[in-house]
Amino acid sequence: MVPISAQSAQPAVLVEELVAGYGGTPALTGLDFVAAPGERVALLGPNGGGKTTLIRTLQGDLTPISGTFTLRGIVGHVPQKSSGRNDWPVTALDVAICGTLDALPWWRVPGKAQRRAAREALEAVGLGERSSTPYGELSGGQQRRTQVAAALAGGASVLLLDEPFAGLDAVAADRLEKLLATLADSGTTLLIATHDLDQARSWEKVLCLNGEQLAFGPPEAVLTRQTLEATFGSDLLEIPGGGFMAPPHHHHDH
Amino acid sequence: MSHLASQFLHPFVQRASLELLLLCVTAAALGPWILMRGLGFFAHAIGTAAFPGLIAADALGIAPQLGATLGAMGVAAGSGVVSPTTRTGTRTALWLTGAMAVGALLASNISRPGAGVDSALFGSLLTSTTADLLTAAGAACLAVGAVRLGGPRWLSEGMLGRSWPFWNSALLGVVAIAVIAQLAAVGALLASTLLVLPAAAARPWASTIQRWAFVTGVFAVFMSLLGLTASLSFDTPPGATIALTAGLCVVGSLCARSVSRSISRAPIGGGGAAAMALSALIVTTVGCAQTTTPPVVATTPIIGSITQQVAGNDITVKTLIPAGADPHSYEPRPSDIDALSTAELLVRSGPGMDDWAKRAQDRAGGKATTLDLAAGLPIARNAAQFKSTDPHWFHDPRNIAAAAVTIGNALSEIDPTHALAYRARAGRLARTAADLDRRARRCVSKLKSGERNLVTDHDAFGYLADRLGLRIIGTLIPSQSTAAAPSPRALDGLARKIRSLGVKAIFPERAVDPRLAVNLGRQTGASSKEQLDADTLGAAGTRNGTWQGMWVNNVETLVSALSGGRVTCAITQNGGGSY
Amino acid sequence: MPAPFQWLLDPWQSAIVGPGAAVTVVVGASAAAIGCWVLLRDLPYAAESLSHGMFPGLVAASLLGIPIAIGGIAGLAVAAAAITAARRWVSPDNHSVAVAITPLLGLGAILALSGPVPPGVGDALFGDVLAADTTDLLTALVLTPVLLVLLRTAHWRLLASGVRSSDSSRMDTLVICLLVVATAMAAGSLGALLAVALIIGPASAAERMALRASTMLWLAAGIAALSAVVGIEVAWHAGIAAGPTIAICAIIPAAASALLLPKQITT
Repeated sequence: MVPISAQSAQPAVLVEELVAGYGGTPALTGLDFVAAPGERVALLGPNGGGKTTLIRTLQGDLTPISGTFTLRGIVGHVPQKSSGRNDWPVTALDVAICGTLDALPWWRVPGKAQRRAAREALEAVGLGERSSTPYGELSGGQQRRTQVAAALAGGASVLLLDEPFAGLDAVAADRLEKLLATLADSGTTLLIATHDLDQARSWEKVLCLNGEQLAFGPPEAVLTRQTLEATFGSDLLEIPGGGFMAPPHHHHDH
Repeated sequence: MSHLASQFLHPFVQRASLELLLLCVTAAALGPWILMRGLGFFAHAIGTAAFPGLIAADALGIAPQLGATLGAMGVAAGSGVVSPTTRTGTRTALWLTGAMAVGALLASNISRPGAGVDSALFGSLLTSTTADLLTAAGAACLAVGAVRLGGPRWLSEGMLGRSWPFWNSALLGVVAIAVIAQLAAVGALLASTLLVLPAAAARPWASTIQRWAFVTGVFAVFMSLLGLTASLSFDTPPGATIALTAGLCVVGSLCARSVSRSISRAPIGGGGAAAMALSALIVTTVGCAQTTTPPVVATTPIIGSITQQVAGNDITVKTLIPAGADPHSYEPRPSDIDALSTAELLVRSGPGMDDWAKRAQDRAGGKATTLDLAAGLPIARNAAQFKSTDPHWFHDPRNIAAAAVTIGNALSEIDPTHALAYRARAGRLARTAADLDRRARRCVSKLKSGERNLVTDHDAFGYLADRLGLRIIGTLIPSQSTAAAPSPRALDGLARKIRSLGVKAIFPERAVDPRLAVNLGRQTGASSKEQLDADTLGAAGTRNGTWQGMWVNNVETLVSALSGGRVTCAITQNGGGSY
Repeated sequence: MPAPFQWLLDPWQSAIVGPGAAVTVVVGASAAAIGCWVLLRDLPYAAESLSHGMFPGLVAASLLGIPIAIGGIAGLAVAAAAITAARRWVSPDNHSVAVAITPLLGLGAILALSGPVPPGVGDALFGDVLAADTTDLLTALVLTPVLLVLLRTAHWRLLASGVRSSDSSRMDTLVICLLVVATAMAAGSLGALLAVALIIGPASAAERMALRASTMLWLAAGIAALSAVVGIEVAWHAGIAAGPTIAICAIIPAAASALLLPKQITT
């Protein structure tokens, strides 16, 4: 891995005056932010606030309505919880190998090199011993880490994670959190959609979204009562003894 | 057992086995993906959509293969269009139903195809040609290649939510091509059977996709060879037999799996293999079809009846379409192909009636002389609704007399030692036909002019009407295709005509669902109870089990019903049962 | 009705058209209402193939010398049971329909050769609108209220299983049973092709027009009845076959709404 200091001159993610949405209707306006290599950026916002829209735009699924964005290196995407067919006879290794396809021309199929990259990626996410376990038999946290491994196997240096912690128990969430920290240390840039303010607080940057970009910056600057109320509305719960909690998360399958 | 083994020495059985093995390769490659992506209905729809394509080809005058391919491709493209707002199943159902409805309209009112169109393309496994084998090999290569390249992409779509529009279309295209390529060789039923059932049977035994494909291949080979063996043993049509054995194999596979799960992990393969071996053993030992191949083959029951009468006991005649069976939905059985490949003489009715016979004979590799009876007849009736000549020539006894002589000459050539006997029997049959002709005309002459109006299901009785001086004032169904249906105004017009002319009876054919005739009869007060035989006979030994019986029955029925019971005549009275 | 439109009444003055049209309207409307659940539960393959499942029943009935109609209904019941079993034990996906129906077709074809089966026994699948008589109409009029009561009773349960996706296999079985009744009614009197068109077409159109499931059911029934009337009118004046014309009329609204309207209900 290249040392962070050598890269920090150039941003890994650069978004300028971006307006994004479906079919020409803006769902998200005024996006303007920069992330350096090795930074974890929390995407905070209510359901429908535009987190998934932003991820899908950066991923290239949606064409920006206006504005530009630049991503340095290969982008990997870890989709929402419900994706991934549990009923297909597929091993964790197969899933990780799938992540290498983006880099291959259409007539190539994954070969030895891709297989090795996939194994390494599974090792990196701590699933080296699970590589021949059927995907459907993995736990939720393991499935999520397999998805991360697929992105890493594709050589991603920017990871877009859509609600990776949704539905995980405390142990699994903790493991994933640690994995993300390790990845950030090794120079991977992570954009993570989340509801958990405490997590966001421990990361490098926070981006608040609710139909528009409300705030961007280090957590201590952004996570103020004022910004959070603008982001989540007045539903924000104040926790006795300091701190806030975002309204309970309702998961929707899309 | 040894008899069965010897069956596999036949070239047609070897070609069928090879064709099946190629189909199994395609099934192994595509089956798991058809199941994972929910394309079972899609594959079925493509096979079914070839039928309206055939009718359209007949209407447009293009090759049936092209029409069927275009029909199938149209439905494939329509239901394959990636639209996020309609479920694939709904889209497939709408396109398929639309295509079938258009096909039925074409068949009823525009093209009015003859009887053979519905099955013009659908081949049988037993009549595979080298071209079929090459097509199947091509389809297998394409399927394997597509799965090799596309497999990882389809996988990443399912597992990682990536989208690969090109590869998605490629999957649909390859499945469509695989079905269409098999259609001409083995028919729609078998094509969709082998693409879905082996993969379904293999699913519980597979933990990875590669293993699934392999087990699917094993199951496909087992199912199809077991089915083929059963077909040879019991002399049943191979496509239908393989469909049935495949279904039983799925049940067997699931049972074996649940048993092996409940016992332990050890006998997984053993249990399955034992069950497979047992069923194979049962099929091969129980089977007992012993056929002596006769040197003369006739296509339809009517042709079989007159040929057998001329041949007497000197030569065995095999009739391909069993008495009473539907000539429109005929799939050859192993004994049929066996007979066709070794026969010395094939007696045909002629174009429009048994067009499949020539093709089946060519494909069976037979070298028999073909006797096309329609070619040399004294009476040939042209009718606008038939593409060339009306193929129902056997409803004129003068044609039967001529055909008997022709058959007698042909039999004399292949078996000169009994030439005298053949010629004598042919002469006797010709005299009988002339006699029955005379009696029938005498009987009909008792009808008044107003009682001579004939209404039937299909236009099959032109010769009979011409000969007996009856007027055909209308038919219920506009064409011979099973999908054809009448227009309400035409039927209303016919009902008015029936009422205004005071027609006393409407005659449904024995071979057709009589509901329409019964309904028209109820509306007009005409009787619709009496049925006529159009192009098939009753079972052997029954009153209408021979040509003579059919003719006598038809005429007596007509006369008595048309006169409202006023005139009855027993044509056979003096014949004394010699018919 | 003013003279210029007198021609619109022409078909209805014919005694041939009347019973068939009435049967199509009644049977079509209830088939289309059931079709809504067929679509919402993604069962069109079962709807399309169920009528073919009648074939071995028809053949067996004629071999045993019992009435063909009974054989057809028994065949339908066996086919429905086979589909349900395959969905339960093979896979809940659509391909289990193929697993259930193809062996039945093979069995029918083999049975048909085993004895004296009247030729064209499969033609019972190709009933005709114009062959429908008052018996068909009476059957339809008796069965339709039964179906409506069943639909009404099961409505919220069906809806709830769509929302919560609980006990969904039981609800699939229920819809397949309703489908058996609709197919028995429709395929016998109208023919298999028209039956499928009336089950799928109007429901597919209604799915895009209605916001609520109950509205969708009523709309589908209305579209089916309308397409029966329009189809007979068109077939009469164009002088073309009635059944296929009604089938096309039942599909056109679906095609038009697929092109023009966004989807409304997502269950």
